[in-house]
Formats: sequence, structure tokens, C-alpha cells
Amino acid sequence: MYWLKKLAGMLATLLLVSMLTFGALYLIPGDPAVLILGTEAEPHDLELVRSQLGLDRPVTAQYTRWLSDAVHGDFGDSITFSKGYSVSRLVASALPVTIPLAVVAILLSLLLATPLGAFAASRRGGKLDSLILTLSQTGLSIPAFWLGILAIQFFAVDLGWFPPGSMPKWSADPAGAAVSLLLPALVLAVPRAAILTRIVRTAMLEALGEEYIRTARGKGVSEWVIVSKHALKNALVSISTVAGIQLIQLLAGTIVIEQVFSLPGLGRLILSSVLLRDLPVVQGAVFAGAALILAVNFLLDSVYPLIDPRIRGVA
Amino acid sequence: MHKLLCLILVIGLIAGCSPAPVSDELVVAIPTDPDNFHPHQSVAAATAEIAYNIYEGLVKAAPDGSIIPALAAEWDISPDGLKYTFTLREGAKFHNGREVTADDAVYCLSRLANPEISPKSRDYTSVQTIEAKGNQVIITLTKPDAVFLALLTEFGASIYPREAEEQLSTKPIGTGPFVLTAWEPNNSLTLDKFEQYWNPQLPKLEKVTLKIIPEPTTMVNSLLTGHVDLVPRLEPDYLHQVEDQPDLQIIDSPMNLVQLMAINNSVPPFDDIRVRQALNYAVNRQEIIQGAGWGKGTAIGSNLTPAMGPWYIDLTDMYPYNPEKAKELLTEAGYPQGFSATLHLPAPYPLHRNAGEIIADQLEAVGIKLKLEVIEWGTWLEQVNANRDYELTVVGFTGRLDPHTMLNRYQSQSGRNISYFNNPEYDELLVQGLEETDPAARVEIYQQLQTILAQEASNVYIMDPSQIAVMSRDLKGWANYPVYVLDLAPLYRSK
Amino acid sequence: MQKSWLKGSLLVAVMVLITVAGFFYTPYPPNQMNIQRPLEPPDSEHLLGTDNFGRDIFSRIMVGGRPAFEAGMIAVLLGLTLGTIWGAAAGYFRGWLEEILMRMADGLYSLPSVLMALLAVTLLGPGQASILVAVSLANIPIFARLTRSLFLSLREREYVLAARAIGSSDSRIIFRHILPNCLSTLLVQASISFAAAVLAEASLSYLGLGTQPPDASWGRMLKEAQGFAGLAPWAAIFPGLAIALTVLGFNRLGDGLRDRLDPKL
Repeated sequence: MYWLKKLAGMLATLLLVSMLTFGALYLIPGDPAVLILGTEAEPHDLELVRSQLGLDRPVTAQYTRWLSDAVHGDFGDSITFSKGYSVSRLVASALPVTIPLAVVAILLSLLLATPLGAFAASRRGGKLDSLILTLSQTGLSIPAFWLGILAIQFFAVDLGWFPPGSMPKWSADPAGAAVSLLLPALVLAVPRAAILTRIVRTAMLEALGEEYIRTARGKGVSEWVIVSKHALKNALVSISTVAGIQLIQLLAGTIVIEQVFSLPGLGRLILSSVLLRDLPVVQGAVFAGAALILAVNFLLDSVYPLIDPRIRGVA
Repeated sequence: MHKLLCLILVIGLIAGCSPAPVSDELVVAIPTDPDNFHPHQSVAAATAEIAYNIYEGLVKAAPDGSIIPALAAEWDISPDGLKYTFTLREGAKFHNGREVTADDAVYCLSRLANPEISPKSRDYTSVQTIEAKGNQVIITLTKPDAVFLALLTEFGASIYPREAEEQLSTKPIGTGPFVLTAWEPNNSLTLDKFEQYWNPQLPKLEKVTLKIIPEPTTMVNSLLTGHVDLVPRLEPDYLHQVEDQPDLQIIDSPMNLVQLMAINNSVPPFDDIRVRQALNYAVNRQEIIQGAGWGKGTAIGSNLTPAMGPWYIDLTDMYPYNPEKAKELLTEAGYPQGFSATLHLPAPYPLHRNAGEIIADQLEAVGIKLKLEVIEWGTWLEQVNANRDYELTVVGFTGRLDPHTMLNRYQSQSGRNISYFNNPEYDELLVQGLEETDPAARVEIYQQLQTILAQEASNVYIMDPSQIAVMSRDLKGWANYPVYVLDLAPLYRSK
Repeated sequence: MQKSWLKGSLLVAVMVLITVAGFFYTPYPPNQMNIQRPLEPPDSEHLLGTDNFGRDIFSRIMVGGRPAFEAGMIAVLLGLTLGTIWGAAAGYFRGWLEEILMRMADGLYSLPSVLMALLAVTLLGPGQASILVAVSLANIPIFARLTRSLFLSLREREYVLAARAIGSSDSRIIFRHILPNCLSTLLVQASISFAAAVLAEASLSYLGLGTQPPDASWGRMLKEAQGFAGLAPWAAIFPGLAIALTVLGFNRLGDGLRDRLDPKL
């Protein structure tokens, strides 16, 4: 029942998002027909293009048509890209960029944050603890796009270690595609790792204060085993929850980073299609983005009651 | 941690040491995807630029602006200028292997001129009949049309096989030197050599990959690191980054683009010619070329560029930089203290944006306070270009082969007349220009048209910017055109 | 960790001072061009060098912080007040009201702020106003979700149950018992939100959606400098440093606050 209700809520939210974007986009000045014809537009051509695109119908009709097609998995065709390129195909080609980017970034940030946070917790109050905390604060404060600009200049242009942006297709050059994602993922990971380090540290401190740890310590178990095995294991639950929230932040962050690194992901698809007034693509891409974020949200909401029993009783 | 860092380093090093591209392949960076490869549906200049390598018409433009044979080996124009007879080249083939016939040409051109189907039909209103006779295509016009042959060089007039009609928008089939074999939107296009091209000398490369890279910074960095071999159009802002690089060469040539600050002549205070003249005196073109074009570009005085050869008349002396004179004119017009106005700048064009910022700085010196509004291209096209709801804007008009298509936008009733320029004498001369068949007399007319635009201070004409092509040093055969195309066929690599 | 609070306040004070001073004095007019001398490295004449139009970078940094601070203040003010009311209503009353309110918050939350800014820009035109709308809209669901989760766990606490048992009114329970216990967490979030809004303003200006030329904003300066990162690194480094220091200051302030108000962490 609980999950069913959450699922229904999620679908309702998605519907709301689709209406919101459709309505907002309709209000945006900038007629796609005008955009298509450019500086050479004459009124006669404009009308011809408009009726070819079905833009002469009322907005409600356009929306219900879109919705009923969407339910059947058809999100329409792009206006700016050729007719053969459906929105679903464009979104489908963007997801293999954005999802791996976000996943690699979150993994990288966990890889960075877990040992740092655990280490800081085990040295609580010490010099290394405060150094790690300072580092984490600094990492949190650096604008990711600035870091991206500097990283491209240093690692890609000066040192030549990474490609300076853009990405080949996975099927054409899997190694090249993976390498193209590394630097942007690292840049995206830095602020997330900074936050996660502190979460890990806090969770570890809490776990280290628990009864069973004290018992283990009393039994003479080594500090290393206590930190790495017992405390970390217990801290992982809350860490994974926060990592989920960070994943959402990260998905939003990809819009800017994809721009800095010229990656053909969902963020850039949304941004460029908004600028080009390619309504079907904006609609579909925003929908996909929102669905992605809501799915993560849904998973989190499902995990909450497992972690905090006080909520479960009420639901 | 150490392991992870090592892994990253190793992967990075492998990426850095990737082998140099094979000598008969090329990677080109372009900023946007094509819109649609159907010659009658596409409207983006970016598509025509690439389609030049895939499709051909009966005739095409040469680098010097002259019109040369393409699918037509030769042609003849009747003395009254009404009948055009094209004789097709023997043995030219489509990418699907079928031979080109006169019927294909008739089909494509008739469809192009049909106002029911084609958004481009308005250029072809003078066409009366198009017929096939053996291997000849005969086009009859209702009245002489001096622009007609030049129009046949454009992308819209491409010849394609009738049976491919439905697939053209994504899978183009033409007769050009390259075949489009893959298109990943937002990512790349792949062009392979067409082995049966009618000219066995061309193309010289086996394969060209066009990478879509919207950010000029990434383009430049990709060039510097060897991930891209050629950037055909670099924003001048980025020129300094690629200068003095041992592996790169820079070729700059006139772009044949009229960059101007368009003035809405219909709203006060700009309906007063003295105010418009004041703007012309107050703008320092050389400083804009210096600041926005990094020194590359040629100042212009009217709506045509020196790249148009004989048609062009140099009018840059009409309004030399003279802020004192500008102030006098403003005082005469009743604005001794100047005034404020809004200048709209199109966001995706750094050249126009930068020019706008510099103009604002210059006009402040004569008391005119400009509020800059940078707007997205979509908003610009709708608000400024279509609705003409603006005061001032900086933009560029792309050059064409014939001066008429450049200058007829100032016809008083034209929908493209964003300046609301209104001059009966000008309208009359435009009509004469189209019907005049004597070349010398035509030149006279079009120079007169340019002079009227300048005398009336219709706009502030700024410069013809330079097209800056940057490529790896081993790339040879680059050809520059006065029209918006990218000719890949003659390119080759040599040490 | 007491020093964190001090250091944060100090950083914030310095950046505020530079920005406030910019209202009264800058070494050069921040928009004045000198096209003959672009991209000059830092020297005694131009402390932080010049940009591609020959404008003084230090002067532009002095005025370029205004939009960022403005965004921070508005975002926190609106996010805190509206978001807290929103979340409190949902977390306390629960039921269908919670369902509707949280769905709306989730909907707002799932729209990336960049897209929200784009929509705002297209409706209001590009500029600071759109940024303010976007950062405020982005912060409301954050505060709403935080307040709700705080309420969810607090409303089952013994002292709340006790207050309810003796028949205290809803408003009394909310304002006397629950809200005061949320305050420290909300305050910490406020300083983090301020830092995040400064970052958001910078990102959006970087995308060209915010402050319009010729006026300066740190994010916009970075965008303009990106093309010259190799040639004139100072133009790309200093505005970024200004953003980082400001955000760092507010983050440290938030940490310090957390340490003082909630020593357990």
C-alpha cells in the first residue's frame, strides 16, 4: 500500500511537471517557425512551416495529443533535427552520456569520501581531522564549472592527459568514450565528495559511540578492524541515503558540466533545445530528466522508513 | 587511493598517446547539427554549408564567385534572357548508383518552385515551365531574371533521385563527392568518399568526420590537442589561442557577411536622419574591428562587402569617425544631451555581442546611453527579425552570389526589411536591377542602391568580418568561397 | 572547531567589504574599455590585470559580487519563510494536505534550477530578476522538505505527545514545541543555502542567463575569460577565486553555527 501510494504520487508529480513545462514553453516568446526560417523569413513561408509543424492548433489540443502519444511511448519528432529523429531517440542517445557521468561521479565521490571521512572520524579533533574538514569545505566551495575550466586547461590542454571535451559514441569508440567522461566526472565528484566526507565522518562518529563498538574495543579488537569493519558497515546505511540525495544534485549539476565539456548529454539536449525552441524535444527531455530524479526520490522515500522506524509506524 | 590515482593517470596517458590520424581521414569541428538534409525543407545555413559536399545542382559557385558547371556540363541563355538550356553531364551518378537523367532535374526543380510544397518557392516566381528534352533541361521564364542562374547554385536547387524523396531528410542521396554514412545528432556526422563521383580526381580524402562542438573553447582546445584537424569558422575572440602554434595554420579570408548595427528607422528618435547620421559618425569602425574582430575584418559603408567584387562600391568615407560632428547633429535634431535607447544583441554570436559592447562604449562619448540586452537567437528572430519590435541591434547578413538578394531586403514592403527603410527611388531601382540584362548597367544600378542606403544613413554598416579557418599544418587544398559553403573535396594531407 | 566560525565570518566580512566598497570607489570605472591594451597581466597599474576589452579586472570583481550577494539574500529570505511554512503545514497536519504539498515540492525540486532559470528568463527576459526567481524557487522545496522531515520526527517525540495529551492547541504545539527545535537546523541550512545561491547565480551567469553585459558579475566574467584561459589565466582565476572565497566563507559560517548550536555533531 505504502509503495503503491508513493508510486501514484510520483506519477501525479510527473504529470504536473509535464503540464508545467508545456504551459511555460507555450508562453516563451520565440516561434519555432521563425527560428527555422532564420533571417530570410517572409510571412508566407512562416505560415507554411507553422502548419507543417502543427503549431496552428490550440495549446490544449497540442497538449492532449502529446500526452496520449506519450502514454504509448511516442514523444513526437524533433523540429530542429530532421524528421527521422524522434524525441525518444534523441533522449535515448543522451542518457548513455548523462547516466554514466552521474554514476561514475557519485562512485568517485564515494571512493574519495569514505576513506577520508572514516579516517577523519578515527582521528577526531586531531590535526588530520581538521585538515580533512578544511579540504572538504574548500571542495564544497569551488564552483564546478570553474574547476572544469581550469582542469581542461591544465590536464587536457597543457598536459594532454584527457580529451578537452566532446565525446565519441560508445559503440564507435568505447575506450575513448570512457576516457572523455573521466575528467568531467572527477570535476563533478569534487563538491559531492566534499559533502559526503562530512556525512561519512558524522555517521562514523555516531557509530563509534555505540555500545557494541565499546564492547568490541573492550575485547581488544584492533582499531583498524573497528573502524573499517564494524563502524563503517553501520554508517553505510545513512551514507547511501545521502549519496542518493547527492545523486539528484549531481544530475542537475550535469547541465552546467556538460556545457563546459561539450558532452552530448541530457543537460545539453535540454539547454540547446530550449534555446532552439524545439518544443517536443524540450518537453521529452525535461520529462526524462524529471522522471530520472523522481525515480531516485522514490527509491529514497522507500528507504526512509527502513532507516527511521518512527516514520514507518505512521505510514 | 593510490591505485585509483594510478589508474586515472594510466588511462589519461593512453588517451594522450593515441596514434595520429591516418593520412586520408579528417576530423572537422562544426558548431551545430544540420537541420534537415531535404533540399526543399532545410533552411539553416549550417546545413547548406555541409550539404555542398553531398548534393549538387545543375551549376555551382566557384571560389571566385563565378558560376561553373556541375551536373550540367554546359548551358545556354537565349538573348532575351527568357530561355535557359542546360545540357547534362554524361555518366554522372547518384549515391544509389543510378544515372542522373533530365527527368530528375525537372522533377526536383518543379517541386522547388511549387509554392504549395516548398518554402523556398518565392525565389522562383519567374519560372514559367521546366521541361526535359533528351539530356537537356529547358527552363522558360516569364520575365528576365538576372538572379536566376545564381539561385540555381544554392542548396535548394540540388538534384536528387525522385525515388529517394521520403528518406532525404536524414539519409540524403545526391551526386556530390561525399556520401553521408552516419549521423548521430548532437555528436557527429560521417562522410565517406563517393567512389563513382563524376570527377575522378575528387574527393581526395577517404573519410571526413564532422564533430558537433558548440563551445568555441572546446573547439580550440580540441585543435590544440590534435583531436580535431580543422575548424572552418573560428570566432575571432579565440584567434590568439591558436596563433604561433607550430602544428597549426590559420587562413583568414573575407567572409562576405554584412555586419551592421540595424536601426529601426520608423521609431523616434531614429526616424530623424540627423540622429542616424550622428550614430554613423559616432561609431569608430576601426576600433570595433580591433576589439571585436581582433584586427581581422574590412570596414564597410553599405549593405554589400568587397567580396562581391565589381558590384561593391566603397562608401566608408561617407561617415568618418567624428564624435564632434555627431554631437552637432544631435543638437540640431533636438538632443543636445543625447538620449537613451536599447540595443539588442544575439547571444550565440560573440562577434556581434562584442561589437555591441564596444558601440555602447563609443556612443556614451556623444551622450547616447545604450541599454544592452543580450537575447537568445530564438527571441532575436521573433522579436527583432519577424516582429521588428526593437530600436537597435547588431547582426550579420550572409552574403549571396548576386547583389540583388542582398539588397532587396530594403524594399519598402519586404518582410525582411528590419530597418523599415522606405525610399521610393530605391524600390524602383530594385525592379530595374532585376530586369536589366546588360551587366555594366546592372553594376551601375546596384552601386546606386548601396549609395542610397548610405546617404540615408539607413543603418550603421560596420564590417565584413574575416572567416578564420584554423587547420593542422599538413592539410592542403583549402578553398574559400564568397558563399556559405565548406568545400571538403579538394582537401588532402601532405607532409 | 570554534575557529571555523571566526574564519568564516572573516572571509565573509572581507568579501562584503570589497563589494560594499565597490559602491563608493573602484580603481577604474568597471565598464571602461581600453581596446588598445587587452589581456594585460597583473601589475602595479592593474592589480589583477585586464580582460579582453582592456577593462580592469579588480574593479569588475568589486562590483561583480553584487548579483551574487543579492541572490543569496533573496533566496534565503524567500526560501526560509515560504519553505518553512510549506513544510511545517505538510509535516504537522499530514494527510491529503501533506500529499499535495509534498507532491508540489517534489515537482519543483525535480525541475533543475538551470531549466527553471531558462523558463524565468524567457518569461521575464534575461537578467538578475530571472535569477532571483529561479534561486528562490529552487530553495523553497529544499526548506519545505527539510522542515517536513524535522516535523515528522519531532511530532512523535514524547514532549510533543505530552503537549497534545494535555490538549495544547495546534499553533501552540507548532510554535512553542516543534519549531524552536527546528531552528538551529534551519539556520545552518540558511547559511548553506546562501552559499549555494551564490554558486547558482555564478553558474547561471556563466550560462549567460543572468547579469547582462557590459555589467560585471563573477560568473559572467568567468564565461568571458574561458576563451582566454590559456592566454590570460588571471582573467579566469580571480573571478573564480572570488566566488570560491565567498562560498567558503558562508559554508564555514554555517559549520561554525552548527558546532555552536548542535555540539553533538
